[in-house]
Amino acid sequence: MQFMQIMQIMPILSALLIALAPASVTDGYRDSAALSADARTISAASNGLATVVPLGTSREGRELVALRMGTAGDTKPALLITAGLDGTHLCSSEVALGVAKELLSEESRTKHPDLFDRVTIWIIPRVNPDALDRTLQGPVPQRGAIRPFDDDRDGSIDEDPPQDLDGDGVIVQMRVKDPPPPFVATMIADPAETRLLKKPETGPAAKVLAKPEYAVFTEGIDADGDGRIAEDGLGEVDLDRNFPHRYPEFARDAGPMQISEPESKALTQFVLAHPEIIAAITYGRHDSLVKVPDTRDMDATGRTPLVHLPADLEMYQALGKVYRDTSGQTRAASADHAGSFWLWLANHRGVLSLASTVWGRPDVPKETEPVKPEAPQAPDAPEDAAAPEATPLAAMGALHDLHDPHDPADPADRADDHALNPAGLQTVPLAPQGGPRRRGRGGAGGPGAPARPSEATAAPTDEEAVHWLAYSDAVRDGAGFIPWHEVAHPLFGTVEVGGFDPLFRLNPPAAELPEIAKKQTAFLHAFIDLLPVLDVSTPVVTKLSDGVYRIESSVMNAGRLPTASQMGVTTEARAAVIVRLSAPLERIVSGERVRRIYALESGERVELAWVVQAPSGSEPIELTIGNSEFGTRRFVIQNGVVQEAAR
Amino acid sequence: MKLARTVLFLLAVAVAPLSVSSTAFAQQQLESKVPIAFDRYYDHEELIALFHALAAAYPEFASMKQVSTSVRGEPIWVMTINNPRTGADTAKPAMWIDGNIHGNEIQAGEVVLYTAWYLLSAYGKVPALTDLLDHASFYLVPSMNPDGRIHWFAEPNTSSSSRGGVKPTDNDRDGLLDEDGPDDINGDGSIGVMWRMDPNGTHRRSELDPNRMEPISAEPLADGTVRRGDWSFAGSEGIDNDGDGQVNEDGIGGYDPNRNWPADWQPNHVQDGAGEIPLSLPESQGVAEFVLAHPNIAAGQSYHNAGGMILRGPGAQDRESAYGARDRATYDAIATAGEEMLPFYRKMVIWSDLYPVRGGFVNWLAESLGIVAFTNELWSDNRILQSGSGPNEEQTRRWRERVLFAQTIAPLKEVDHPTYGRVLVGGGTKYSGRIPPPFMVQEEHHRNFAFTMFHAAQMPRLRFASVATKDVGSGLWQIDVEVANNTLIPTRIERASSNGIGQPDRLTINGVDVVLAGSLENRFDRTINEQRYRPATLENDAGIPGRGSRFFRFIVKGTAGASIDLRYSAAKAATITTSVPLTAPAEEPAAGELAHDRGSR
Repeated sequence: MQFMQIMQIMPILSALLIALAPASVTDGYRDSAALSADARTISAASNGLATVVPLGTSREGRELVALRMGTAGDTKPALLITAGLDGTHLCSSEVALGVAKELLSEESRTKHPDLFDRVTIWIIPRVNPDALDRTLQGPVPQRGAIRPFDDDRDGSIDEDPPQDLDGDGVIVQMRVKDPPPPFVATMIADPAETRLLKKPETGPAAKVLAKPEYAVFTEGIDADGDGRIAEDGLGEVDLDRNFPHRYPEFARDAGPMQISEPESKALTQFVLAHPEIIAAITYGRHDSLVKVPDTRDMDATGRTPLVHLPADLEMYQALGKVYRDTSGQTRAASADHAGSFWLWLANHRGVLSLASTVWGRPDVPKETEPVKPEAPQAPDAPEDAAAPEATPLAAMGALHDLHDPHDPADPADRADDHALNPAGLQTVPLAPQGGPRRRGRGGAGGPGAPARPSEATAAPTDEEAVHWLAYSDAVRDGAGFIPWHEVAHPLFGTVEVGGFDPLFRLNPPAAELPEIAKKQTAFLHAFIDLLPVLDVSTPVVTKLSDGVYRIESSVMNAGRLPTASQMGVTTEARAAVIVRLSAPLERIVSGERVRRIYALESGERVELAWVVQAPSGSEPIELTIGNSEFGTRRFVIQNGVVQEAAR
Repeated sequence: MKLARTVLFLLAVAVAPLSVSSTAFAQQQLESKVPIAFDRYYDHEELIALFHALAAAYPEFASMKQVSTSVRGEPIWVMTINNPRTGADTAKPAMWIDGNIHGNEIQAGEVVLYTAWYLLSAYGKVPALTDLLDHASFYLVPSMNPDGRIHWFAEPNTSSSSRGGVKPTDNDRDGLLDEDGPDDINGDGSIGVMWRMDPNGTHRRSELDPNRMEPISAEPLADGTVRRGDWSFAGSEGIDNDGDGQVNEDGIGGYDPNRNWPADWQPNHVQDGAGEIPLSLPESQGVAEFVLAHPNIAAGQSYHNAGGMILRGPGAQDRESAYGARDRATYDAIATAGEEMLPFYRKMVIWSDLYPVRGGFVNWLAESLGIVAFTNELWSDNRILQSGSGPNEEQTRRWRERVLFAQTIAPLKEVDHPTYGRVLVGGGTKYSGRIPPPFMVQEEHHRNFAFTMFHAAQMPRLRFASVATKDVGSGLWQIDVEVANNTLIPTRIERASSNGIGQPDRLTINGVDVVLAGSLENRFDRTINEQRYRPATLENDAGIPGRGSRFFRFIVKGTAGASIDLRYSAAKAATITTSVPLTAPAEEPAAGELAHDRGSR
């Protein structure tokens, strides 16, 4: 009762607090309706160059849209830009539309007048509008697509969501000092940065010196009385874990099966219907460019790489360098790639596919840099882009840290353990939770099993978190981290609520978005300049004898990237360049009637030659060269004369 | 037109002479409202018409539902068989039985027909099957791939062709779809093989049997002369329809519907024929929805041909861990029984004993949904000699000539081929392999049907083996509950409980205040493995094992004589309930009482 009274006055208190508080992390970000309206505005101002194409609807009925930018008519290679699979990655959607504006700007059109003669660009700015709107509405950040789900498998759905105990509009962490049984303290305040929590050192000496103090939870109550805190919130399917490449079956947030959601289905159908998409970049929480994942390992089948085939790695590393040089981004925290959209494109559809977080942890002015924690902590993260980067989970924000389904201690995850962080990134040992991280947890035996004591040595201070705190303090007026403060709690009496704003480390201040879009556009121009160009030479016909002709032509890749990556060749999902002569087989004296060219390296030329019998008065011979990616050129040859048919 | 044919066919069925005497039951011979001959094969239209006829004749037990539509617009039907007087189909454990996901594997669909026919005809006459149908329901799919079955019957084919569906696919990557399939160039209704005239030939035509080609040894004779034949093998019957220099390289379809399911689904470069994405085929989508909507499915059989195999997963070596020791024991116990019921059949594991399969339907049932599921590969060549080994070439020839009277031989015929010139074309008809000859069909059907009934009877059947109440003082009572399962299949297989598939089982107590509750290791255990929260509904994620039991203890506040209600529910078993009074010493419990849960699912 007392708790309820406190809860009732909480909004008033928090309104007072908000008036004094720093600007919200989400200030200046737009909801899904405003974003699609913006896409339409862009289209309206584009002189017909950009059109809005409907792709379907989300589970809750919001429209899914793509912006097509390019000239009508011929088949041209296409570049796909996808953003907003993750409803908490707000900046990706804004940058995607910002890029559209930049590409259509006067300046860009002047500097790259032939851009749309070379490619068509598709932008899908917000794949997951339901989650995006919920995230902006608060307080619970929604990463995945909405799918009501019984996370704790108790027969009730979404009955124990996180609760905004202090009414500040943000769900963060909740820590309980010396918790009553059966809850177990597992964390201590990090002596190097007391706002952060870490696991205590293990070993007999450490046990004497630092005993675990806190049990840590997501901000919430035990609404369903099962002894677990906030373990069954609004069900969600992480769209970037819902695709068939290394699909994490049975993970709580990966959906009931591959491509199970209306949003992932719409995206898939779009990709399958557009074979001309040869290249793609996905803006979101995966990075393949600032630090190009350098694993050479294959998945369990041995035939699909965890990230890239060794044969493609150098190409992707070169693209990474181009990206860093043009975008200026030097840091990125990447999530694990299992089930991601961008790697499905790369490894199942054979697309030249990239992933960008668009923003990484910024530098802090020198004088406000954090004091370097003492040894034996890891040295300061070097500024070099190739250095190991932020722990991926830390970058996800507090809430998702706690809910992250990648549990290295979990047997089902362990099988794919080596796959979890191919980039060599570390995962933070997770705080113990009441809620099951995977569907297999919980059940008879009472409350969610308290975390097993760690066998490993203590987790070092989370360097990245320290830097983020410094950035929050120095540049963001403290907006990134809610200081620990006491709040009444129905189960524990009093708890402390605090931690990183879950959106803070993913999304830059909205004022920085235009500049980011400019830089991303610079990369896109560079990328498009590198794309393969299919150069078909007009056939030369030589008469060898009466009614006997030699026909010669060639196909060359005049671009800098191959027409298909090695993975594109392996998957057979890329269209071969098909060379076809219409003459009947028996009239072809020498040469193949149908020829397939599966890939052309940069500068690689394939010579084509036939000798055919074509007595005067016989049917004209048609030579076609091309495919569904680059378009097809048709030549008609009659009486030794070549004419190109209208494309 | 089609309707008219169906009606005529049904009339034919209805007026078929009934030779069954009134003492049929004593002869194990079933009197059925729909007499069906099982010494022949039925094309797709006939097969589905017979299913409808059965549903019409046994409306109380059988109903037909269309769950999918094929690429060519054919319905995919599920027949539900259930006795509504003992509860809804969804309130009982159910067995899924399908056939013919490969179009050419025709007897797979026919066994499903036999299953429906026998089960429906036997209710009320054969006590074992009556009891089974009172406690279990069945979902039967006569053909998962109607387009493939229709094509196999209607068009020239081999015993192995028309395996997949008919969705146009560019197999030779020339931008054209299905433009160069086999052609029946000798017009005999079969796709045979071709031999082209070749002065350096590897074969010659047998003088004794003009339908046989004899190999000519490439080894020189003792005197140094080299013998040469007149003919060389030229592939399967067909021409180069698309003029690319290759023959039959892009026929109809060109994918495998049994690689399209979302368990270990892998793209084409890993698993040939998988399709672009899991469930990319319209046939698969509706079936998957039906299966997902029926968590009561506890057993599965997916019929294929051929080879005499009782197959379980996994389909790939890297999935071995999906079958833990307890699950392997369950599978082995059922399959071992099958080996005895099915002479010349052997229990096998798909990847190690057959070949690797990713995205297989039976793997999806077993590994994603926790259903104990097998694939039987129907018909074994060992049955030709009935000896446990297959016939050699000569024995096969004699079998075809002497037992089958050469009816499956397509005689070699000389015809002109546009590319190869003079060719000999022939071989076997599409009935020449993989399927039993008609006179052996019924035995094959019956034994496999019997095996699935054994499998179905192993679905969990629960009872309260004991409920003991005891006054422990302080106004508290102790209630010990033993829930037992006498069949082989647990309520939750290891795969399900270790991956959180579906809901845990629940034991609920009503009528008293629960102070403490949990499970016990055994009946003598004194320490309760306590469920501290919400103890009136004990969750049991491990389920009740096969041929075993689990113990639970409640400590409750209550007064002597108060009645308590117990209810045990599991997704793959019928719910059981019982009521006992708080008395000491415990009275004989109302054990084994089966109460069907009506309406709560």
